[in-house]
Amino acid sequence: MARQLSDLDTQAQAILAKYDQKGAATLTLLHLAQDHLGHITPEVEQWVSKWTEVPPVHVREVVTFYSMYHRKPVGRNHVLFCTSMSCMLNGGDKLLCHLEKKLGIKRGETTKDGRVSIEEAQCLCNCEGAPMMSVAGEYHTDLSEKKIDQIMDGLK
Amino acid sequence: MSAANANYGLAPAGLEPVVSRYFNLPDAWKIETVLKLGAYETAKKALAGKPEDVLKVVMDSGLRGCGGAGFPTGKKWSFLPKDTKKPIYLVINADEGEPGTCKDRYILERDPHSLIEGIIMSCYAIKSHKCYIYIRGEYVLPAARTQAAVDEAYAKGFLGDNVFGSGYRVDITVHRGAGAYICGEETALLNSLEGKRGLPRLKPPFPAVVGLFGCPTIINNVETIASVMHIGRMGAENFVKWGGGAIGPHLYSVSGHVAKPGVYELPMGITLRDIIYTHAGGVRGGKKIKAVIPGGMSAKILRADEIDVKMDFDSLKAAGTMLGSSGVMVMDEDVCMVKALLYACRFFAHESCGQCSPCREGTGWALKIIERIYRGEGRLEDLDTLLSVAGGMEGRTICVFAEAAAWPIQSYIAKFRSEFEDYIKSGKSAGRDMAAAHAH
Amino acid sequence: MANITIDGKQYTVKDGITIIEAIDQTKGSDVPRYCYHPGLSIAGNCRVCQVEVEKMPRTVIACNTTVAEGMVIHTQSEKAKVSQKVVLEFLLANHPLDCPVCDQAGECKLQDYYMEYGTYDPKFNENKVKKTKKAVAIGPTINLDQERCVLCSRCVRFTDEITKTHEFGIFDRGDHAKVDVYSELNNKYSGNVADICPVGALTDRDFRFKMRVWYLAKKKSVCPGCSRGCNISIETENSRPYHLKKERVMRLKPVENPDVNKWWMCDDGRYAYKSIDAGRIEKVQVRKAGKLEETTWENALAAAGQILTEAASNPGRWAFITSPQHTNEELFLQKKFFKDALKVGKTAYAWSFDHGFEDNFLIKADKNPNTAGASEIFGAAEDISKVVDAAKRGEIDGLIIFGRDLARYGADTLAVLRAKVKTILYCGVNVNAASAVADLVLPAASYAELDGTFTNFEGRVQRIRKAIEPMQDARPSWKIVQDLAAGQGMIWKNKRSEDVFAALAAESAAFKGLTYAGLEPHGKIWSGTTAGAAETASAGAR
Repeated sequence: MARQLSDLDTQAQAILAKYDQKGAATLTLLHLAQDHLGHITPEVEQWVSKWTEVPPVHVREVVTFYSMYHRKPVGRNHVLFCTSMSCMLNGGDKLLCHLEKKLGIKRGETTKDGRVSIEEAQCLCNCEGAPMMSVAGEYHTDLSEKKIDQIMDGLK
Repeated sequence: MSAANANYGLAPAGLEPVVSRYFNLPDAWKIETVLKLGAYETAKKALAGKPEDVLKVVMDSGLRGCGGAGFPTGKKWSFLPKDTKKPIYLVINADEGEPGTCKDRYILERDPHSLIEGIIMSCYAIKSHKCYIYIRGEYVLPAARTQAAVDEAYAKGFLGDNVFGSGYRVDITVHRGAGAYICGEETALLNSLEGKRGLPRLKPPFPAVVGLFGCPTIINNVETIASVMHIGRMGAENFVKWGGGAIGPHLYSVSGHVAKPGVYELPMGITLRDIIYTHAGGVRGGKKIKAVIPGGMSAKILRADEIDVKMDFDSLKAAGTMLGSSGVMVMDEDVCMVKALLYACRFFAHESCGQCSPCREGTGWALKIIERIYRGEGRLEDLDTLLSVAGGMEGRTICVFAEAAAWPIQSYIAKFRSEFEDYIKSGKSAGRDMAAAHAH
Repeated sequence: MANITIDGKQYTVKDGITIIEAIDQTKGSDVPRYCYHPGLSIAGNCRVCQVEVEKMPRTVIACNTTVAEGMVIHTQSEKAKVSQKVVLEFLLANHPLDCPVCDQAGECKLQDYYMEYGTYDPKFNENKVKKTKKAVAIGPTINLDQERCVLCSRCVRFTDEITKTHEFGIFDRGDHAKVDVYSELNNKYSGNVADICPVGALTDRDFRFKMRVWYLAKKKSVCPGCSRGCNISIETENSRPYHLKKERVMRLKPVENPDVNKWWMCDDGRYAYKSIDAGRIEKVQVRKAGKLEETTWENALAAAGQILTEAASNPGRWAFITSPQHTNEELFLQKKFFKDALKVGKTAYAWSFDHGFEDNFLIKADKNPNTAGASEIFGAAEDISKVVDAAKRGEIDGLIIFGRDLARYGADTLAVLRAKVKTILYCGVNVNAASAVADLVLPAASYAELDGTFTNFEGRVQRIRKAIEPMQDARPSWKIVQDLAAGQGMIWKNKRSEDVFAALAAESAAFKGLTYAGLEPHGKIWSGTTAGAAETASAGAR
């Protein structure tokens, strides 16, 4: 895990080489920085701006437009809990309440120890496994209260 | 690792699976597994022939796009300028986001080499040397698998400067999105790929003429391009005649209140009733169907008495809805349609890019109305206001997201109006599914 | 060329233009618009410029639909009107009811288009979206109100395409989308964003709460801030004379001139109007027993007459200093009197202090509006510093200064000059160190208070117009000179500045053939010479 942005410079260079124009690397560079440093700070915006030659204001536009970029710290394990149609039809909304109770936080919040955060997500396209959620990028399907408890208990 | 779902990729008995043939095969995402089974042979043959031959076979098949719009693929490719000094790009739309749709995820996660092989052939056909695969950001595992598959293909010389020693160059960059349904709209995808907000572009010009980085660009869905390889492999006629359907095999995602939710490869033109009862195990608990969404949440809903419709582009259009992304969502008799519409409106309000005024304001407005109705504070005139908002958005925006947001509003109210009126009058759902209403 | 029909009238227009351009060029119809601006790229996001085109199934936006041969366009058919109304209702759905406290009222496109194309019964009956920044200064010149914003993106396109300073962006999505700056809006053209914002989202801090725009009288003129000669509108309070007491000019706005400044003006020019009303020489004054006392024009002209008769007997020891802040008409009569008639020993109009910042957009280094005119009219002349040096050496008996603050040469300059020079006559607009030491102080009208012409850096002669009456005793300096000349027996019968211009055009090869009428609407390039620009060369803003 990189501690600071300059540690990611080599990777940034490799990423830029995959695109025909520098600006196209914006989303990938933001993912890279967020994966290592946890969230997008103004410093990250400036760093991406420097590599892509995109003015900082337009980098920030991208950061605020897309759901996956966090401008504030989130938990080490960020939960995207699907709240779209198939998951709702299969009782997902009740299970989200269960998750909130289990962790003692509401959607949009992070546990005090920084371990887990909950976000209501729109369709994650694993509808055949509804109800489902993504935890730290990993999809978990066919949820039940028991399964949710198991998964949460296993998180570091 | 997503949970193993025993129901995926089953083709009907007696039919050889096509697009889904390796969905059940462990490690099919690794090149060594599929090479033994003949992967990349079709592309090799294609690159030894003429690009026009690949074009012809795609045209002959009548293949239509599998992303939602159903535009004939050969026709789209023919829009490219015949003589251009600019590079031609192929972009794979793997921004699967339509609620109810999960089929592309299977290709990316379980059989990415079929996509790569289709890309090689398609690039050859349209004289492109560069392909970007745009995968939605939340698809972490599918993107990792696809990237690994691309790396393997490069290592074998199936990608790069000299594909199969043919002298033709094909490069692929795997690119991840960052969470925006609108990036599934092809011009929004291009803007996102260029590093900007995912705002759809004004058309004309169309991407085939002015697309990625201002260059001629073809954008196709994952399943569409994988199908290009299969058409090349089987021949257009065999592909089209598969299972006696309208244009051969098609992936249907089935979810909701069915006993066996999953991704099914079925002949296009099978009836909705067949999909639900013959293949997906019917409705759980033996309940009755109340409503079915046939083509992803944007598609207008069908009542239980309308499920004998054939699941192809033209038949569903004639029935006043659409095949779209082929995402079938089944709602049983206990579903509260007011709540269903609430969830639909929440989705569209959350995903509107906000660029043009009718959609930006209309999706937010519609959500506020349906939330108020759901909370028990509805007024009877709200239904007509909702319809007016929906109708106002249609036809007046930059892209068809507005239509997609309008159609659920229009169809749920049209087909279940008395339920909405009862709910408003009583202030609550009459004993139907009333999970905790969460204030927004 | 394409033959099209708009609202039943047939027109022939250039191929490849959009319907909105065709509508604006042919001027027979109009269509509402927010995001479209002729100086910016097409955004097509407001969706309000809906028109019906026959044979097209739905209404289309006029700004992104190209005309075609035989196209039949309706801007006010039932179909078009319904579309326009529907979109307006969406735009107004979340708009705050700020009209009573919003500066845009009276020149607001939401108000105007609602009255003209809306007048529907509003159906929105929910809580409106609240946004973070309401009435927040985003820089020294502009206030932002995110709730009033209709997200037309004109401001974003302006700072991306015109100033290329990239301050504005649109953040978040859906109906939570909001315009904001990355850090602050601080470029030399920031004021323009309040002009282009069609609603009260971006407003001018200087103008905030000053005056309701329906009380403004407007007059077209030219900015005197530099040699670009941006066309402006001087907007003054009207109908409520008691309101802001001495402040008459409320603001300046740019006026479109495709050949000079397009739609824009710089902040220095925009906010420089305060000197029209503040720090003015308001009264004619004469020095008596060491102190300046107010007097009448009659007395002052009589005193001047004596002074100038004395000067005429030994003109070699007199000097005349003026500035290219004056109009061609003023400079012409100054030259005719002081140089040709009185034959003063030294004449100067230029100094090095007028040279400043220049960019490759509108701002010119020469901070005078009429250097070309001055150089054409006066011909070769010394630098003012030479005259001041000569005066310091005791070589000058009388100094006639028109509008130059000689304290620029040092704080003690005027004290030295006062000691060495017997008579100092000052004629100017604003009080300064030079006017304070003069024997006779004649108040002149500012550029906003007279008619006349300026010649810009490329030789374009443009009209300025009288927007307000001269303050108190002030008079156009060409009239003052005419009176001074009359006091020496030279009767010139010019009644209006136009007469002076005609005389100038008759005498000068550069101005030959020009008339006030001929200068409409965008000025005319003269036949004189300037430092390298001809009509066909790429003149204008960029």
